[in-house]
Amino acid sequence: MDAELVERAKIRDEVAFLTLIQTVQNDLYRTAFAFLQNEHDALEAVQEVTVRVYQQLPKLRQPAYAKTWMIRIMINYCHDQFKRKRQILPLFNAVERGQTSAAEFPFFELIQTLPIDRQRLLYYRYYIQASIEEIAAIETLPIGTVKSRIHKSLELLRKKSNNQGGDRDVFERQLDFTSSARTGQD
Amino acid sequence: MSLNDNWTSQAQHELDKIEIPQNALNQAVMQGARKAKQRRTTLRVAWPTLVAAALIFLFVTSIRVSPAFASAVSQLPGMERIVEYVQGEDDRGLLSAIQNDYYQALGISQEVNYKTLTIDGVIPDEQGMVVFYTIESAEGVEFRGESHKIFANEMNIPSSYNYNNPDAQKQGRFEDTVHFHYENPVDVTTRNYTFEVQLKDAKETTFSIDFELPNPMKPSKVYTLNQDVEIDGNTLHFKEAIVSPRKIGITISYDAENPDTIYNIEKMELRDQKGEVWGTIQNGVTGTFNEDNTEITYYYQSSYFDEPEQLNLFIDRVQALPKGEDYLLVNFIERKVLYAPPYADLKVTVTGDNSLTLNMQQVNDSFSHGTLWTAHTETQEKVFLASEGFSTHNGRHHVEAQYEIDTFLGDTKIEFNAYPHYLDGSAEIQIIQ
Repeated sequence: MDAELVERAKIRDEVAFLTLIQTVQNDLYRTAFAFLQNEHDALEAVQEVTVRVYQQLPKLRQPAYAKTWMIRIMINYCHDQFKRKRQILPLFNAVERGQTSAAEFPFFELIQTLPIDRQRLLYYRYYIQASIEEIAAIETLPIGTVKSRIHKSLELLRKKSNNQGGDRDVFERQLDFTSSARTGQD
Repeated sequence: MSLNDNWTSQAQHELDKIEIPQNALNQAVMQGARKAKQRRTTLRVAWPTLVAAALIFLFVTSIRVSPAFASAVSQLPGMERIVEYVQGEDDRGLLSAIQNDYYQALGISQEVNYKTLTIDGVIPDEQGMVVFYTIESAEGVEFRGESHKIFANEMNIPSSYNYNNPDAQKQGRFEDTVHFHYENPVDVTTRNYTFEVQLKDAKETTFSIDFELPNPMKPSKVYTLNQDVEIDGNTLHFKEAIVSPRKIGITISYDAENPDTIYNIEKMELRDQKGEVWGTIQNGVTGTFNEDNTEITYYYQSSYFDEPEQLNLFIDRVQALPKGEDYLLVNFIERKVLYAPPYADLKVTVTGDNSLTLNMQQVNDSFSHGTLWTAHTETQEKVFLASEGFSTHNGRHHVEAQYEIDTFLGDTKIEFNAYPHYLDGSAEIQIIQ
């Protein structure tokens, strides 16, 4: 990331700010879509995150890591949206996610079974391809901690992925049941 | 389900499946940027930022400085000028800060392109800082629109600022003062700052001086008010008062059910138990709105060091228009005025595809405001004011304004920022008891 561009955006150079957002807008959109699973919500997320980035930019300490930092803001936004939606439509949301994403995004779907902070670590590492140093800086964690958390999370995901099909947990069974119930009604 | 053990390629493969609606995405980003800018500009200056120097002197009733104090400060190099400046600004809060040794002398210089900038001293607090500085130069220094910035621990502090510069071009040695008003307060323990000035000369000379406060900052005092006041059927909610060494900020909100839209409060005074008066800030940031425009904070000269036992706020001349009559409706293309409030003998002329002029009775000579605010098109699109100039002459207030778009299609509804029409009544509330 162009540090000078970030610095200019930080001091409210509007052209620099727009250029900065435009260089990451595709990553922001894909991240939003991965989490929210539909175009409308993803576009709304990009718009809101643009506002948040503008507001929080003066707090960014390492301009070189601006991209991962913005992705963090996006992931946090998406999780907030989940929380809200779950309160309103828990079942519908779960069903939708089960129907549309599992087949197309198996790795991402697995990641989503992890706690939120672990989801971010894996997303930065494999989807954004950020370095361990960068992730450590953005999450303010020691490098060793980032490494071990990613390693342990992957171990867990490997096990989950191998067990699938045979040994499903209760949540997945429920999910399956509601999916077929809906299909039956349709 | 089997997963490729190469996690990165699996992740990238998944991302590639997400198609990007490029046009809609570009639009979302543009809208976000516009919204961001708008939320930022709502921290607008409620009263004129830079009132012409001539106008300020109309308000000045010079502060009395005791001869003992005057002779004491003149012993210190450079202090005479600072006291003189504060007297000129008629800010008894700042004067009191100096009298109480809160002015922090620095005397740190930097030479760039054969010009030398010296920070003479500062008056800091959590909400902002006053910086006194001197430039020495053999060549002329162009003063039009140079920029000032302040950083805390190397991070830019977003702020509005105002400065003096009586002449556009100067040679030799000259002094200036800049007031920074931070968007968000800094921590009271912040000691390390950087002051940056960029001149508009051919080389765009930039000074950047790091400095450490010699003494710690004094913390602001917060008084929770939570008092409602009713004037002419409207409820004004007084939320809190923050007394800092440089100024007092009093935060007010207006009840959504109020029959009138309230703009500015022209007359506001803080009075202590002995009848001593602290006025509003005359020149600079005199009021700010919060993000969603529901609260406004007005700034007064500070009583921080005087520590009055009791402090009352007196308000009068509350500008307002009845809701439903609080807008202008014009058609820029047809050069037509479709609605204008029937108060203060307002005359409106559409002068171009995005410009108009207003002429109205000044009513009170304290009415001296940027008058217009945001507009909405027929399709509810928000349009920002690009520029506005105003002047008063023979009891009439004249405004020339331009909006930030080339052509408006259809009718455009314009909001006011100020109007010389007032609620009937005044009020007084206790701030410190």
